[in-house]
Parts: sequence; C-alpha cells; structure tokens
Amino acid sequence: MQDWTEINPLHLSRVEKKAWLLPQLNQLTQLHSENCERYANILNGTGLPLVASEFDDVPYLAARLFKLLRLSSVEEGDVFKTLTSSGTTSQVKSQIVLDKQTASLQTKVLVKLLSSITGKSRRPMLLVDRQGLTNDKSGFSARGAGVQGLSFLGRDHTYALNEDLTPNWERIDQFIEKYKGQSVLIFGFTFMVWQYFVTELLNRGDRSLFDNAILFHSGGWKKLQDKAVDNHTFKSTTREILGESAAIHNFYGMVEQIGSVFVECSHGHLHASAYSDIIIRNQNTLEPAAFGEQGQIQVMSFIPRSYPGHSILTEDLGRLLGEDDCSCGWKGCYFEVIGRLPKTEIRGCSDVF
Amino acid sequence: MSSNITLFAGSQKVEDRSSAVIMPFDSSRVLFLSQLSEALLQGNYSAPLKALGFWLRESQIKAWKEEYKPNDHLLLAPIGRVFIVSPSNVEGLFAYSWSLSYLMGNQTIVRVSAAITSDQKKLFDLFNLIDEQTNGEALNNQAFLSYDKHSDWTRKCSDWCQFRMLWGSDQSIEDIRRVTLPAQSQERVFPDRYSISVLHLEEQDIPIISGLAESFARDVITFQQQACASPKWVIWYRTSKKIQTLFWDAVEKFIVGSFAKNETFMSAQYLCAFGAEVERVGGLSIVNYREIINDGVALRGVLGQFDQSCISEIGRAFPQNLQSISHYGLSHESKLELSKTSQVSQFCRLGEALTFTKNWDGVDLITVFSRKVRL
Repeated sequence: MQDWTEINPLHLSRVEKKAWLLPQLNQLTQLHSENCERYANILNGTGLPLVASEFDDVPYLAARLFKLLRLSSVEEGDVFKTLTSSGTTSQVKSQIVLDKQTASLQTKVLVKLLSSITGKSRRPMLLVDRQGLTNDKSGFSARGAGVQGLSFLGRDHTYALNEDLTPNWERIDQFIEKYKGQSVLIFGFTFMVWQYFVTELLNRGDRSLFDNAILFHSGGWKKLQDKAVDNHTFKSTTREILGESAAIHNFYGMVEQIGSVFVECSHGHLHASAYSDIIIRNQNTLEPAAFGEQGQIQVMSFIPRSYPGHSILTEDLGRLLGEDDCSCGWKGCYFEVIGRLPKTEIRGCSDVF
Repeated sequence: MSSNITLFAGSQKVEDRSSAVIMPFDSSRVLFLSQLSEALLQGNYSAPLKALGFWLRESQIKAWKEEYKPNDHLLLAPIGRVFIVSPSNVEGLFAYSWSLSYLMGNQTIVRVSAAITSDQKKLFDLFNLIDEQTNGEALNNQAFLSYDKHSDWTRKCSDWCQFRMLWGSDQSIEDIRRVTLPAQSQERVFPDRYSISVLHLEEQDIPIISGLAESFARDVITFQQQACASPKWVIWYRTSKKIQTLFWDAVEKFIVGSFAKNETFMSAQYLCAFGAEVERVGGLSIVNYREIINDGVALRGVLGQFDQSCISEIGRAFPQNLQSISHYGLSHESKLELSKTSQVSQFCRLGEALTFTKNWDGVDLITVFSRKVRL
C-alpha cells in the first residue's frame, strides 16, 4: 500500500483514491472495533459491516455521539490530549481523544495538504488570534488545534490580537513594516478574521499591504451571515486590504476530524483531498444523495487512530457539485456547505431555568 | 417590584402580604378559570392549549368542588402564598399547577423563563384580557413573571412564600434548593422523571391493534418524547413476537415523519454503544436490550424493548425515577404488584400518557395547594 506521504493530495483520481483510501478506512474500522468497546457495540448492534467494498458502505457514527460519549481506542495512559469543540458555553462540547501518533499525523497531513498549495518554503505568518491560545493541553480547543496545526506552515509567527481580541496594533504594524510587499501567510477563524482584523484595518485605511499573500480561514459562516457578509464580500474586501494578488482559501473542517480539511479552490469550491472523502446523505433517508442534491455531510479520513472518528455523519448540510472535474484542476469530490440541520426544538420537562 | 423582572400577567401587588383571604372554589376564581377554559376551547389555539381549556372546563371544576366539599369534620383552606417555578418549554405546564393554586384561593407567583413560547404568550394575553374585564380584580394577587436566575429574586420569592413548588431537571432543582426556605414553609418538587409502556397483547387484540398503535404513537410523538411522561421503553408482558411485529408495523404508519432521521439514527447508535441491538428502523428506531438504559441523556425517536413474563420482575427493572406506566392489558392485580415493586406514580391508557390530571407524579395537587383543617 502506498505511503500517504507519497501521494499528491489534490491530484488523485477517484479510481486511485479508492484503491488507496478505502483499505485504510477498512483497517480503521477493524482497529477501532478491536480497541473501542462502544464502537464495536455500535457496529454489532446496528449490523454494520467491518469491511466495506465502497465508500458508501463504510460505517459512520453520528457526530453528536462524541458529545455524549467518550469514545477512545487507546488506554487512558496513552492519551496525549483531548480536543474539545468550540461550542458555546451552554452547549455540551465534543471530546476527541488523541494519542501522540494521531496528533502528530493530524499535523503532518495538514501541513502536507496545505503546503501543496502554499509551496514548500515557509512564509512569515500572521495568526489572527490571541497569543497563549494553544498553551493548555488538557482542554485543548478546536481553535487552538487549528492555530497550532497551521502554524507549521509558516515562520516568524505573529499573533495579531490582544487577550481581549482587539487588534494588537504594535505587533501588526511591525509585521506589516517587516514584510510589506512580500508574500506572507495569514490564518484565522473566519469570523475573527473579518471582525477583528479586516474590518479594523479597513477602518484604519490600510490597503494593498502584501504581494501574493495567502489567507486560510475556517470556522463557518453563521456569524457572518448574520452580518450579511458572504464569501464574495469577504474575499473582495479582504483583497482590498491584503492586495489584489492575495489567494484566499476558506476551508471546511471540524474538531472530530482535525487534519483532514476540505480546502476551497480558486473557483470557490471545497475539495476532498486524497486523504479524506465526503458523502452527502439525504437527510430523510440517509441514503447517498445525487450530485446537486442537498443532504447531510459525511466525512471520512484515514487519520483518526486513537478514536473511532474516521467516518462521521455531521449535522452540516451540503451539496456535491462534482468529482475530479473542477475547472481549477484539483481532483476529488468538490462541494459546498449550505448550513446546519435545523435544531430539533427542545421541548419537554427538561428545563430552561 | 424592581425593573429587572418581566411581568407577563397579574399584578405587581402580589408581594402585599395583607391581601384578602379567599376560600377554595370561590365563585370569582371559578368564573375566571371557566372563562379561560371557554376562550381556549372556542378560540384558535394549539392542541396543548385546547387540552388545558378542556381540563379547566366548568363541569370539571364543579366535580372537584363536589369531591372536596367540606363536611362536619374537615374543610379545605388556602395555604396563603405560593411560589411556583416552572419550565417554560412545556406549553401550559405552569398553567396547570397555577390554576389549582389559584382555585385553592392562594396568592401565587409563577416564575417562567424569559424565553416564552408563542403559546405562552397567547395564554398570557388571554389572562390579561379576562383580567381586564374584572378591572384587574381577578389577578391582583397573582403574578406571572420572569427574572434572571442569577438575580436574588429566587431568594426573595422563597422568603415570601409559604409553599414552594419546583418543576424542572434534577440539576435545576438542586440549584434552586440551595436557596433555603423559611422553617415554616413547605415544598414540593417535580424533578426528572422517566416513563415506560407495559404492553400485554393477545391474539384477541389483533383487530384493535391499529387503534392501540395510533394512541401509543400519539404518546410518543407529543413533545418529541421529551416529556417526563413520554414512553421511552416498552416492556412486552407475555406477548408473542408475531403480535409485537404487528404492533410496530401499525405504529410505523402513525409515526412516519415525526422524528428527524438524524435523531432516530443518533439515538439508536447511542443505545447500541451500551450493548443494545437494533430490531427495526423506520420513523422510530426500536432496539432490544435486556434492561432499561437510562442515564439521563435526552434521546428522540428511539424505543428500547424487552420481553418479560413475570410481573414482579418488571417492577424490579424500572428506574428509581419512574413516573408513568402507559399500558394495555394489565390487570388490577398486576398494577398492585407494580405499585409495590416500583416507584410508579401513575398508570394510564395508551394515548393518555401526556394527559394532565390533578393527581400527578404521586401527588394530589388540590390537597398540596391547600390546608386540611380539622373542625
């Protein structure tokens, strides 16, 4: 079996991907069924197969299970860190158990994937977040994991925000002065990039700061939709600040499968790389949906070894747009994220006091 | 009262401890509730509010009055000042307990969540409308309000009241109970409860199985299985597999589309993680396990099931926080046995699990909201 490091992440066709990724997923199903009793129980109790002959048949767990159960395939002593979702305080957070191997693989895969876009040389990097976010290993947030993972792509890491999330103008100005007109790398969560960086620089009058800047951002559009900011507005405004040559890539990912992110191409489509795959399932039947049909997003990844999260049915809604034929030149399924499943109304004798 | 509370209906004068004493079943209060009932039944209201209207119909109140009428030895008198904390997400739940407190002649403060539902708003609008017709007399010592749970209003209301009634999750009740009551005050709580169905179907029941299934489905669908009295597990008592299958086939017809697929899928996986096995998947997921799995996680669109042929064993399988058993085919003797071996507080027919009665959760609410005075 081909080593993952030898694969070009954005240029593997469907046939090649199936030959490589499907056996990996089957292996993980086997691994977790042997090491996670609850996972084995679910497979057994729901009659799911251990070996799938198609991606569609790979067993998948409901994403919310990670909020309700601690699902681990490693001994407690081997737990390196536990990731938590960035849910609001009132929500129950997901718990993702990582051992060193999986944590390391996450980072390596992320770097391999994104560096196939940024190139191998490390660029000066501005992180639109606060310093110290990644310090606490025991309760590691998705945001922290994202910042830490992406930081491997850059050098001279500069955190753009203060503790209270206001711009740290001193650091920002130093970064701008040092790297003005150069190619830099910027990463942040979509809402934070917009609210605490782009808007602030726009108000200050900053324009065309860099040459060939690359911005990666993630975290969803919900908060920006509330402000009537769509991807187009986001990109055009951000390019005013960073420079017209800036490459802006949104990506879709989640704490349950960190490392296997789905990056937006130059044509505005999210792509599954060679390391991951995506299935859209009809939300009323959970059967695979046709191209263009809206449904729940199932994500698959070869990374999770310490917890049974290699195939997860999310509560996000999306639509498959095509496969291997995007005019951007990247291979893989390409899709769009539409939103979340409507929340089931909470009613009953549970309470809201 | 200060500005950090929202008064939805009633009067701010409720805090006045010197209001006139009104005896249980006073005609003015019967009149208010009857008018409320009539308006709910005749107006364009939701099914839960119509059910409240039906429950409060004048003939019902008269029947209660007759049931609790004073005799030479005993009469009912109001407790005085009552404080009710109610979850706002069961439309009308607060109204059931409040109306009995009101009927018993008490001054009452009802605390609801600030996030009131459209049904609650309609109900408060109706309260205010009928109250206006009495120039504010009807509700001048009642208050329906909301306040920040971190404020000191729970303390103030607890100091004020002579009887406190709490509805909510175990966690909420424990939180509120940290606010102690004065020694002279009483309390009644309605915490998290769990309910199940016991079904005993025989060949002779096959012709009516569709009707039974429809009733059962109604119990399951109402409040999306999230009410204390919603059945979450079915225990088959001496019922053949063939009849069980016929029953589930029939239930499926009435349940279809009631639960989101993601919910039934997730819920079934959750129970399977503990060792349950899926029996069938449709509008509901049905899973088999040898005992009830109940760890407090709110699941939707799933029912567990197992067979049991010994009634005393059924009672022992129930959780400590059991409330309702909706049933078919249980004999009087079986009910006695289950009352002895479990914490059950109410049996009901299929389709009536969510029907509120004055005897709720093991308590006669009319008695709870009044003093029994020995003459």
